[in-house]
This record gives sequence, structure tokens and C-alpha cells, in this order.
Amino acid sequence: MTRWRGVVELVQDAVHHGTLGVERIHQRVARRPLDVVAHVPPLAGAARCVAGCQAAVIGATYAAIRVVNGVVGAVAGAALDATVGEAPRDPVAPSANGR
Amino acid sequence: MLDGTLSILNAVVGDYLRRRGNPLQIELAFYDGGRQLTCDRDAIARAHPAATDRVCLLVHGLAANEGAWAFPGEPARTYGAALQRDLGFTPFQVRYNTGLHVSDNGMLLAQLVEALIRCHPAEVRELVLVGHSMGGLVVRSACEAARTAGQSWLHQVSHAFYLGSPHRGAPLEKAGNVAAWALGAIGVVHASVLADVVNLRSAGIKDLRFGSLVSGDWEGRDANALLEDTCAAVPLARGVEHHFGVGGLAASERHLVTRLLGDSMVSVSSAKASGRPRDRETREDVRFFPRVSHVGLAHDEDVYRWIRGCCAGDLIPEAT
Repeated sequence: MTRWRGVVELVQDAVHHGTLGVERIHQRVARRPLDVVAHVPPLAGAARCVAGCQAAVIGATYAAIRVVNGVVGAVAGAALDATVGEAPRDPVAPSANGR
Repeated sequence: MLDGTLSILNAVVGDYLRRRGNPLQIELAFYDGGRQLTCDRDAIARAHPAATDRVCLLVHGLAANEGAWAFPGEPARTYGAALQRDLGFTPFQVRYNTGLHVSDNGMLLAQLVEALIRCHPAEVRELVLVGHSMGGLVVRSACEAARTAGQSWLHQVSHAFYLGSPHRGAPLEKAGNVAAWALGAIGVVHASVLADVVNLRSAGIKDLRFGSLVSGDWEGRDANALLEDTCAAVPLARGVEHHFGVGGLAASERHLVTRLLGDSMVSVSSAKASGRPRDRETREDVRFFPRVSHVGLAHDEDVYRWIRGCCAGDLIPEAT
């Protein structure tokens, strides 16, 4: 069971860091056409405004994924705790040295 | 299967698992029959009812565990078991988180051996260390840690074997370093994210770039700097006979395939520790094993004969 907890934590970490990396790419790619448009003086203000909104929406989307990831991880952790409370200790858990 | 998966996971992100306190991390310890062996007198006496005063330690390589020592098709046959049968050694197999710095594992191993010497049922008069690949570096690092900490077990070490250990670095890790640097230098966000992913590999893997042994090699330095060799020259432990086992894919050391690929993971010159300052007070020998791959060095008949011969003192070492 200890190992399952480790797997949950690792998957959570992977999703968290994975979304940060993908978000970085998404933000950069989505911003590129607006950066071009921003060079046209009459459209510069609107382009900056759209870019800001777009960045906020993209950021919020990935942040939501990370929040859900955190909640799912916490629920999975609680479920594992409940299972450990009901079941005998996992004999293959790496705890022979008491750590 | 599960143990193998955990060993690979620890090799790739073992330092991260340690920082996060993730229970998937492997604690450095002795393992016997796939189970952790607590280092206390009762547990060791139970595991080795006929413990002798000659002890051998087997330290596996990157992404492996003690299963790496098993001969193909004969899981119970290892160098340790064979030394026990032939020369009366009491074998101990170490399992550790290969994603940690070699110097960290070396320090932990030094502490574990110190504890073993204290709690071993028979007074230890002779200690033989066998390290495969990264394990050889961990053995050297442990000897250095023991020397600087003034631990007594170093005086009991008679032989140290380094089987395919990358004393001067491993080409694959150098290639990984160059690849990550090149991806980062492109200046495109996709490539830089990919570079970050490549650079996620563990500190243990990065230590293999130039064969780092002590913490001074990496503390306060950029681990991802392009081919920056910051490794200090660590002398071999005095009073110990050092044996370098070198594998080669072809029939001779001078064959083009061996020159290019070494044992498939480590070059011949790196496994020989060529170019390292020599100490006249240490005894060293080098043995080349034709047609023995990197993995094969951990369970090969000829390699065992060499180890047994050296430990029995009935073999004249090949000239370096």
C-alpha cells in the first residue's frame, strides 16, 4: 500500500509538471500571431488586450487541470488511508528497516 | 518484475523521489532473497547461520538490483554464492537508489559496511568489494568516504573489483548532456521543454558523465553545463588490491568494434581508468574479457574465475 501511495504521488507530480511544460508551449505558440499583429500600429492595443485575455484563459485552463489533479490525488490518498485502516499491512512494502 | 521496475524508476528520477520523500525510493541496504536484510546481529545470523570471517559485498550498477548478479538460467548462482562455496566467503548483496549522487551512495555504503563490521556474527578479517558498472564507482566513493571519516573497515578490505565501471565517464551520458544542451540552445520553446525533460534524468546518471566520486565534484555547480569535467582525482584506497574488469564486444581489445563501442556502454579506457594518476603504493591489475558485454560482466564464467583466482591468491595478475 505504501508503494501505491508513492505511485499516486508520482503520477500527481508528473501531471503537475507536465501541465506546466505544455502550458509554457501553449502560451508561447498562441501568443505568436498576436505578437505579429501587435506590430501594426492601429491594431496594437487590441492585440495586446486579446493576448492578455488569451493568456489568462489558457493559464486558468491548465490551473484547473492542476487543481483537479490535486483533488484526485488527495481523494486517492484518503482512499488508500481508509483501505490501510481496514486491511492488514502490505507484506511487500519496503519497510523492513523501519523507515 | 516490480523490483526491476522500481530499480529503473529510481535510476531515472531517484533523486527526485528522495527529495519528495516518495515511498517508491529504494533505501540502500543489504538484500537477501529479494527481501531487505536489517543490519543487526540477529537478522544477519538468521540469514547467514554459518557466517565466516571473510565477507564479500556485491554492489550492482545503474537501474539494476541484486538480480543483476544471477547467472542466466541459474538465479541462485552469483559471484557471491560461488565465492561462498569455493572460498568460504559470506556474501552480502547491496541494493540502492542509483538515481542519487554516487558520493551520497558511497557515504551510505560506507556507513552500512561500518555497521556490518560491528554486527557481523564472526569477526571480519577480510572484506572483498565487487562493483559492477556504477557499483564500482560507489565502491570507490565508499572507500574514500571511509578514509576521510576514519572508518576502520577500510583496513579489512583486501580486494576491490570494478567490473565495467566508467571511471572516466560513460559516452551515453555525455551524449545525453550534449543533446540536452543543443535542444536548449536552439531557442525554440518546444525544444527547450524537451531539453528540460532530458535534464530531468537523475543526479546518479549525470555523475556517470565523468565518473564523479565525491560531493565536491557537483556541489555548487551546474549539473547540466556542457561537458564540464569537474571531477577531482580521487586516489585508489591504499592497502587494497584493485582489479579492473573490462568487457569488450569483440574478440580483442584492439578490434575496431571494441575500440568504438567498448562493452556497449563503457569504453575500454574508461573501464581501465586510463590516464588516472597512479600511486606506487596501490596494487592494480586490469583484465580484458573478450566478447563479454557490459551487462554480462556481472555474471560471466571467466570473470568469476578471475575474481576467485585473485581472492584465492593463486592467480598472477595480468600486466596493466
